[in-house]
Amino acid sequence: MCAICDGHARNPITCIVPPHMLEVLAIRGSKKTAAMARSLLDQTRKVRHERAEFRTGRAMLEEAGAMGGFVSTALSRAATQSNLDRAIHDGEGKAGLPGKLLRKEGDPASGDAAVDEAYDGAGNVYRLYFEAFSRDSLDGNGMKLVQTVHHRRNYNNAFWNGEQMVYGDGDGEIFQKFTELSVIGHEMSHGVVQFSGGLLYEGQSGALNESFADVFGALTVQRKLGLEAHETDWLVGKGILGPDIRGVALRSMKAPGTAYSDALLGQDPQPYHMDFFVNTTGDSGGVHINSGVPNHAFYLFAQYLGGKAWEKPGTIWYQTMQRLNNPVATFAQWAAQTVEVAIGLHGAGSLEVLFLKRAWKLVGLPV
Amino acid sequence: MLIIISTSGGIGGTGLGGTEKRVETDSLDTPLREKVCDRFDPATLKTLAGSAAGLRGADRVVYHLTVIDGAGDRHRFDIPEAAMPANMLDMLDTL
Repeated sequence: MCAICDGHARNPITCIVPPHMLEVLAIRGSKKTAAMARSLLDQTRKVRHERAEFRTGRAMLEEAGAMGGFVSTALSRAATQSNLDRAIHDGEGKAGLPGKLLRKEGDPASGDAAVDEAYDGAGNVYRLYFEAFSRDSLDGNGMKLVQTVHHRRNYNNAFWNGEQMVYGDGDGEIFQKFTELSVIGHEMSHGVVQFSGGLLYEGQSGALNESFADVFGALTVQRKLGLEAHETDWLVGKGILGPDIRGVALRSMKAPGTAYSDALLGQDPQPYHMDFFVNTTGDSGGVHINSGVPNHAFYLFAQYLGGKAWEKPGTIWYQTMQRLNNPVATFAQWAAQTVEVAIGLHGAGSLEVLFLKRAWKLVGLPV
Repeated sequence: MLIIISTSGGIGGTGLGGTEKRVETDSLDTPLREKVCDRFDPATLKTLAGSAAGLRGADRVVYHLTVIDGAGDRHRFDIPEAAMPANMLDMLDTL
């Protein structure tokens, strides 16, 4: 008998769930289920699961008319009404979240640059997802966009904590404030990934999670500025490096590995091709390093097609995320799914599919 | 007690930037020293490190803490920022 579910306190996940499945539940499950999965992961005991709850979770639904197919709940019910609802909090230099509410939806500008950038930026990201992909917020269901700025002291980071976005001010030397539009788009897109079935934040699936966030961070900037693929710089985190750091951004999708080269930060380690894939245990298996490969594939595809990258390329990437249903996907599995989506949207013999396959081949992932 | 602090991860994959921080607790004022010794007690850190599996989120920082106790024994822990209580993070910012 399992030590977890003996006696009267029956665990709804219950026994013999292998660790990788618990990790998926920790991403996809309801708050209660996720907490339980985390608790079980903390222990080494084996538990069983209730099949129905595991299979569907709350993020993915069986697709009508498609045998065995799953789509995210957001894709299955396209949004028709905007429910943009922002709340920007001041962390006041402390670690507690969310902090003091400074600006809520409809309030005038606060005069605090970070607060107002977070407010405006979240609006741009929301509108990208709503207007281009009919998605109503991060969860597809009008989720309030909670953001905290001025997090901690001299904090050189921004992150998504599973419930909200958080931005530091930087130390002014290595980094400046993180409320730059592509960074806001990046963090919010981690939320979209989480509510689209999730990608485990480790190894190749983690790098895909990072790449999706970079792609939609970059697309947010391009859409706001009205730039076509050939007109934009394809940088993520442009301008957030400190004044004396040798570099232009956190990452370059156009030329991975060239965003910075600095005595303190070192050389941008991103590869642009699978031949240079970095095997490492650091950074959750190189999630911010190897994302260079799918980032570059998206860039190449967008350049081949031309035009506005958030339209055809963005739609293919977005729908791939909504249909993937594989939280431990490899680069090759992601690439294959993009081609499947592109065939569904444009036809097997289309230029879109031809260019997409060529882009994947050029980064060492032939489909 | 000597505490050596470094970081990795974060949105750039470069941790919080900068070099490692070394904190010699004997050089701290008494009230702060007591708090730091309590918070960075190896048994406490071991519990925190063990509670970190399956945490949600992305771009979080991981703290790499090495504690060298009074007997000269080294204790090394990798603890995600997400597993640390807010008051511990605030304390890290003051050190």
